[in-house]
Amino acid sequence: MGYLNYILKYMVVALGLLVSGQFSGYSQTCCSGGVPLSGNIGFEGAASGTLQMEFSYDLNFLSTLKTGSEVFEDGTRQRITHSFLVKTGYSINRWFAVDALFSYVLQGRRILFNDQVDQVNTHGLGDAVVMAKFILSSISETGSEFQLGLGPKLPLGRTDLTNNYDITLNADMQPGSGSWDLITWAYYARQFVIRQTMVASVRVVGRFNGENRAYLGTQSYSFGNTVQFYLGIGDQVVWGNSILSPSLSLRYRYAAGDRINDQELDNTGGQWINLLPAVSWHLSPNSILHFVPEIPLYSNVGGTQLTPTFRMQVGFYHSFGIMKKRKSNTYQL
Amino acid sequence: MRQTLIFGFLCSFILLMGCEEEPENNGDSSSPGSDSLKSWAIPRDEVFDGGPGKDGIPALTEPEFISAEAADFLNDDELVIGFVVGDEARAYPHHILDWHEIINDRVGEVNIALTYCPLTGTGIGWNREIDGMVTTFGVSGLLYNSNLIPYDRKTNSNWSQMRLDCVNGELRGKEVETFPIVETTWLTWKEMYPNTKVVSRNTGHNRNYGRYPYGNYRTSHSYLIFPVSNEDDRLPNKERVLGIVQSGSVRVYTFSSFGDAVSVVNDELNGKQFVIVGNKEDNFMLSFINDKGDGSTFSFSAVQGQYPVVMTDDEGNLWDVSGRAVAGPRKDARLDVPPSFIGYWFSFAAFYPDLSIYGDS
Repeated sequence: MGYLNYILKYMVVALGLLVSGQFSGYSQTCCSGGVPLSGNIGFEGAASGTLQMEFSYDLNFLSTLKTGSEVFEDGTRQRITHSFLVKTGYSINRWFAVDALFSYVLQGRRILFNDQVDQVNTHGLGDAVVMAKFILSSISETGSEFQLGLGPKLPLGRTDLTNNYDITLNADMQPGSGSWDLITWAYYARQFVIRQTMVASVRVVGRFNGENRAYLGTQSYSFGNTVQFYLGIGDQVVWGNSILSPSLSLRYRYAAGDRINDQELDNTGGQWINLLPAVSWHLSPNSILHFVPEIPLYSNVGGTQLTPTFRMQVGFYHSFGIMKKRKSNTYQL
Repeated sequence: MRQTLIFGFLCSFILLMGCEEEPENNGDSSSPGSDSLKSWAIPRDEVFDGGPGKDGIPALTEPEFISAEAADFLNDDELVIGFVVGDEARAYPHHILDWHEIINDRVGEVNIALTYCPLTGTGIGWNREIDGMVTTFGVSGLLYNSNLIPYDRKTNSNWSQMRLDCVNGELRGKEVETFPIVETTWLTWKEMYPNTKVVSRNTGHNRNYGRYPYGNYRTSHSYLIFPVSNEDDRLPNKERVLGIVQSGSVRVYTFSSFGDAVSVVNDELNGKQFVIVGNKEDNFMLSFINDKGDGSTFSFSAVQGQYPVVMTDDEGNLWDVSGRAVAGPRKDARLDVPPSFIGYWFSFAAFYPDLSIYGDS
């Protein structure tokens, strides 16, 4: 019964955050094949003076063609995004921390038609996010953790890469978005009383996108605002001489349609619900390897779109300094 | 072992971060050399990647046809492109062309590529026999002035649909030979050719043909997805007009030039005489060169209620929508058809900035 109360409490908090995000007039964004920036920003809290680092690889494979929620069997198109992410965070004191996320992106578009293959690949430095965090409560002190974060997405990535005809590729194939965006982030986690290694968490991330005013030279382009909502539970178990942290999360993502010259573009935006069964291996008190597959459960896309078929992330985490507790929460995709 | 794994992981990151930011080559092995690839007859910086990629919008080749009675998925007011060879009439619905943009077909002995660009609203019948070789066209995924750039599969050359020539590749500079087509509503086309066949939805591709894929694009005059090189506000951007392309000059005709019955307009452009026949209510406009062959011209008048016949002349011939004399002293003769097609006003203005509007003083 106690667990049920906790879960209900978390859900109420999470829904509150979600609703407040929507009342601000936006939701979250990033096209389905884009770089997973907003979903990866934000570390758990750590003791003052702790430097946290994470290197991860994210694969997003899109080959499912959908109109709304209806799947259209079509094996002709594939879109792959490989993202290499470097995340770092520093806990300034009990109340404040700052996180940053940098990306390098390899994107591929593959068309199979009449036994011919057309493949276009791009790669380059992607955009970055810097976020200041305010830590309202710490899990080591109160058994629950509540953080709020806010920061810009910096348009470091190029938006003018061309194909082999020297023709500028469209926004979807560029490593950068060309816009300054605002990221808002909220994270709440709570230990279970009877099993303190077990943690339930809720995370809400909003991304409010600016415009790339030099898209294709004269156009204005903005990716649709997005909101992502994560609900997860994780624990630690001893396996041989190792500590493993299995976790299970549910991710809901809403993306508004992209806009070009202030007109909403068709065949963009939508809603996705994915399941993330993750496992992490504690190499040492300060180092963790993690693996997070992401399984699409439901999606309802705007118009007709390729939508993720499979996604996964592997990463290595290390902290320099004192960790407040062993990292055991659900992983953040 | 653990340290080695971690070290390798970190090194991979550093190497990748240092990579140069250039896209890799297209995997198309038939592509010509890079100089040829980058040489265009149109401003290269005005050619854009549409997004889906080469063949990402799959052209159809010799698709399945069904009878008009079986085409219960078509509403009467939907637009189709009609093509007639001899006694065989075929209809290519916009709502299938919206998803495929090109239909390579063979009607009798005629090899035609129905090229259709949803963003400019232009449907043009191309001869796909080039220098005695039959080819098929595919969708390059590139756009110029928002307009389709087909590529031919024999040489991989890129063509501009509305310029009617090859703009990149081995065949650069070669002009398109067009076939006369009729763009009208399904109801009108059925009335003209009750025995018409129509492209089946069984195309071999799984698409939602009942859904227009570009939202409010065709009705919102302010909504352009790609930049165009010239804008002209004399008409609303998405107004459908008929344009005649004559030796570099273009004149467009609006539906308002025609009444709700078949009517005929005689006009002259660059020293050539034309007759334009149209019906606003039945939603078609067609153009023909008015030349008896000896330098003199016909005196045309409209014919009502005898589709596909739409005109008669001072010799007593009856002319149908394909420009064929179906009765009279010139029976089976054909009027020549200039390069002409219906499209959105903005696209004609983008391609042909000096164009004129019929009736515009």
